[in-house]
Amino acid sequence: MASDRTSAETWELLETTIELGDGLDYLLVECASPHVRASLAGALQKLAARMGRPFRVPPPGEDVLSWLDRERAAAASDAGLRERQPIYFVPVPAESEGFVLARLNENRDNLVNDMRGALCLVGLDGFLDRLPPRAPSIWAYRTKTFSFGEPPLGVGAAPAPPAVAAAPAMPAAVASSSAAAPPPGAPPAAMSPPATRHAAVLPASAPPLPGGAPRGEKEGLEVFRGAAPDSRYDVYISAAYRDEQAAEDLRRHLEADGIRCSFVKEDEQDRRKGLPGIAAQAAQARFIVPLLSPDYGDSDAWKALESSREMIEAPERLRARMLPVIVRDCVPPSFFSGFEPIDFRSPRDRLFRYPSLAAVIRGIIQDERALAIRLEHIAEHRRARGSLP
Amino acid sequence: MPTLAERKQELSRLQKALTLGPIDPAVPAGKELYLPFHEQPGEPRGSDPMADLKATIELTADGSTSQLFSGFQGSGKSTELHRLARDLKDIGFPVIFIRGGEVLNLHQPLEPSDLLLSVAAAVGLHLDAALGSNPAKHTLFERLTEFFASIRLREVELGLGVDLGLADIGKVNATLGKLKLELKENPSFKSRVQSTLRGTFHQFLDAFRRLMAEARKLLGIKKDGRSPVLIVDDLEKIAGLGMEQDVVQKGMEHIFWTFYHALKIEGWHCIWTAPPYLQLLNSAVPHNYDGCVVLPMIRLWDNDAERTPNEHGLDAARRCLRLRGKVITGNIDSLFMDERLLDELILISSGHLRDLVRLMQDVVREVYKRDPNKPLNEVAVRRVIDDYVTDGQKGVYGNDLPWLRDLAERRQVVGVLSDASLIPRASKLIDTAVIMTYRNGEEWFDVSAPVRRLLAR
Repeated sequence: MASDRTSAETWELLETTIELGDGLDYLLVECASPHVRASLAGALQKLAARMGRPFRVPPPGEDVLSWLDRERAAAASDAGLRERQPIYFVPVPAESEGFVLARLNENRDNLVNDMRGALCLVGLDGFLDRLPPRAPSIWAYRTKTFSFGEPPLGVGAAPAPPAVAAAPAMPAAVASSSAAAPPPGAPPAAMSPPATRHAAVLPASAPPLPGGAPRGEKEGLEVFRGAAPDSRYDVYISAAYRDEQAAEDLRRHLEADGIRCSFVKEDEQDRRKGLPGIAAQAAQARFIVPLLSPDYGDSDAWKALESSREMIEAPERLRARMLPVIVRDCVPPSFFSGFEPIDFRSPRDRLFRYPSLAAVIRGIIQDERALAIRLEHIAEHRRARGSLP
Repeated sequence: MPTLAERKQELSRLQKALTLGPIDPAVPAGKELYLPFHEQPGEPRGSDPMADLKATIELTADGSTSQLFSGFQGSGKSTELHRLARDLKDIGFPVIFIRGGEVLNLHQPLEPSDLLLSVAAAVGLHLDAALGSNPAKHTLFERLTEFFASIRLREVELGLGVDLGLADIGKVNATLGKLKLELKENPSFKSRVQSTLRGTFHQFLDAFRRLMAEARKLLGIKKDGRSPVLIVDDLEKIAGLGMEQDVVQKGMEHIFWTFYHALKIEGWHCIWTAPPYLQLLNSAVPHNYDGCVVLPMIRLWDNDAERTPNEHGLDAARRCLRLRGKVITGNIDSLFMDERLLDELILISSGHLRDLVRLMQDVVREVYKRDPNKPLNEVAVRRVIDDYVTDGQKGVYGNDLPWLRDLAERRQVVGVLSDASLIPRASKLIDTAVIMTYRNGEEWFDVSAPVRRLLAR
C-alpha cells in the first residue's frame, strides 16, 4: 500500500488527479482484491458521468492490449474524443501481467502521442511492487500511484460494475459513461471469464475451442485429449519460402514470450518425408499459424496441410487450430474463408497486433492447462467413487 | 484573495505549468519556465554542461567532433539540448536535431547499422524539407538511391515483402518516412537490416559517410564553412526488460566503445546522448570522444556523511519551482503553511528535476481537494512525502541493500561494485534513479533520499 491513507482519502486524491489532469496521465492503481477493483471501476464510471467525460473499459473477454490499440487508434483519428479526456479503465490481467506491462512499456510514447485523458492501469495486490522492473518507462513517466485496500467509500461497499459488463456486445470504441446501467449483481467486465477471447480470429462457424467452457465434464475431457497439455509445441508456423524471415521473427518473439514454437524452413525440410513430414510437424502443435501472402497458396507449407490426414478426416478440428495471420495483400486459399486473419501487413499492425496474437495463444493454453488439471481431478474423484472406469 | 473558483482555475493552470515532459527554452513559453542552474550561485548542478559541448564545437568550427552527453531520465537533458541547438544556430551553425524515439525502437537491441541508417533517414527527411523545390533536390534523390543500393536495402525490403518505394525516385520523402517507421516499429525489418549489414559493415560505413558528405554540401556548407551539428537525443532511453536488459546494455556499450569511429562523421559535429550506466559498464568509453558531459542532479546536500543541506541547491530548486508558480497568487509559497515544508519537499526529491516537479504536482492536488485557499500544514505535506518515499523504495530488492549501504557510506562506486555481477543491477538502479550522481568539483554518487530512509531502518 502506498501510504496510510484510507480508501476514501485515496479515492478523493484520484478524483482530484483526474480533474486536474493534462495530456495523457498514467495513473497506476493497485487494488487489494478483484472485488475492490470492480468497485473502483464502478466508482470511476460514476465519476466520468459526473464530469461529462467518456468512460472506457474493455468488453468482457476482450484482450486488453487489442482493445487499448483500438482505443489509441480511435483517439488518434478523433480530436473531439481527445478533447473530452476519456477515463480509460485498464484492468491488467494477473495471469499475463508481465507480458501486458512489457508491451505497454514499449508503447508508452505511442499512447502519449495519440491519446488524452486518464489511463488507469489497475492491477491486483502487489501490482505497484511488480511494476517498476516490468515497465520502467511507464514508472518513470507516471503521474501518480494509488492503493485501494478497500472499495472506495461513497460508492457503496458492494461492487458497482461498469456499464459495459451489461452490454458485452457493445464495441469498446462506443462504450461511454452514457451506457445503460448494468443489472444488479452482473459481474464486472474486468473480472469476467475470458469466454470470447479468440472470437476476433476465428470463423463464426468454427467449433468452440477447448479453451471455452466445456459443455459437460465428460465432453470437456474429450475435447481436451491431444490438446495443449499433450502437444509438443504450442505453435506451428506455416509459411511460404518468401515469408521465412517473417516466420523466423515471429518465432523469435513467441519463444521470447515463453510460447513453444516449431517452424520448418524450406531448405531444412526432410526431403525423404516430404509433405507428410511437414504435416506431421504441424500435427504436433496446439495451434497452426499460417502466414498468408500471395505465395502461400502455392507453397509446400500449405500443400502439406491441404493434403494432410487431418484436413481429410477432421477439417473442422483443423480450422479450430488455425490462427491465420496476413503478412502481405493476397487472396488466401478458400479454406480460410470465414476467418478474420490477424493483420501483420504494416509495421504498426505488427507492433500492436502481435501482443493480441501472443495473448490469445497464451491465454487459451493456460486456460486449457488449468481446465485439464481440474478435469483430471474430477475424473480421479469419480474413479475413486467407481463411477468412471 | 481570489475567490474559490478563481483559485481553482489558478491551481489548474499551475498543474499545467508543472509539466513532466521536456521544455524548449528556445520558444517563449518554454523560456518562461526554464531556470539556468549553471547561472545560480554555487552552481548546484556544476558548470554549464552545454558550454563544454559548445566550446568543443566552436574550437574546431569547420572540422569534425563526436561528443557524448549523458544523464538520468527526467533530469532535463532534452531541455538542455534544445538550448544548445538554439545557441549554436544563433552563432551560425546549421543544426539537425533528431529525437531518437521517433526513429528508433527504444526497447530492442541496437546495432551500429540500424542506428546509422536511422540517422541517414532522419537527415534525408530534414534535407528534403529544407530543400523545398530547390533543384538540388534531384542530387539528394540520386545520392539516397546510391546509398540504398550500396547497402542492399532492396534485398532487405524484398525479403520481408515490405515496399519502401525505393524504385520511385520522385517520392523520396515517402520512402524515407516508411524507412523511419519500419526501423522504429518493425522488429523483423530491423533484425533483417542488422543481419544483412553485419558482414559488410565497412562497406555500409563508407556509403553512409559518402551520403553524409553529400548532405553537408546540400546544406550549402562550403569547404571551410562551419560544419553542421547533428544532435541525436533519446539514445539513453534504449533499455531492455528482464533477460533482454543485459543484451541491450551490452549492445549500447558495443556501439559507444567498439564503434566510436563510426559515430565520428567527417565534416559534422555529432552529439550523442548516452545512457548514464555506460560509465559503470566501461569507464574508458569517454576517452574515445572529443568530449563527454554528464548532467548531474541538483546538489541539495554536500558530499559528507551528514548530508548537510546545501543552501545554494535548495535556493535554486525553490527558484525553479517559483518560475512555474508565477501563474498563481502568492506563488508556490502560498501552498505551504511553513516555508520549511517546501524545503523538506525539495530535499526528498534528491535533486531529481522531474521528481521535484512531480512532488509539487502532488502538493497542488492536496491543496485543490482540501481547501484551495488554505496552505498545507505539516501533516498534509508529510503525507505527500510518505507517498513519494514509498514509491521511491519500490524496485529495490533485499539483496541490494548491503551494497547500496556501502555505496551510501562511500558515495562512490569504486570499490563498491568490485563484483562484476553487480554492474548490470547497479545500471538498472541508475536507470530508475535509485542511485544518483552529483557534482561538486568532482562527480560523486549517492542513493536517493527515499532509499536512504530505507537503509536507515
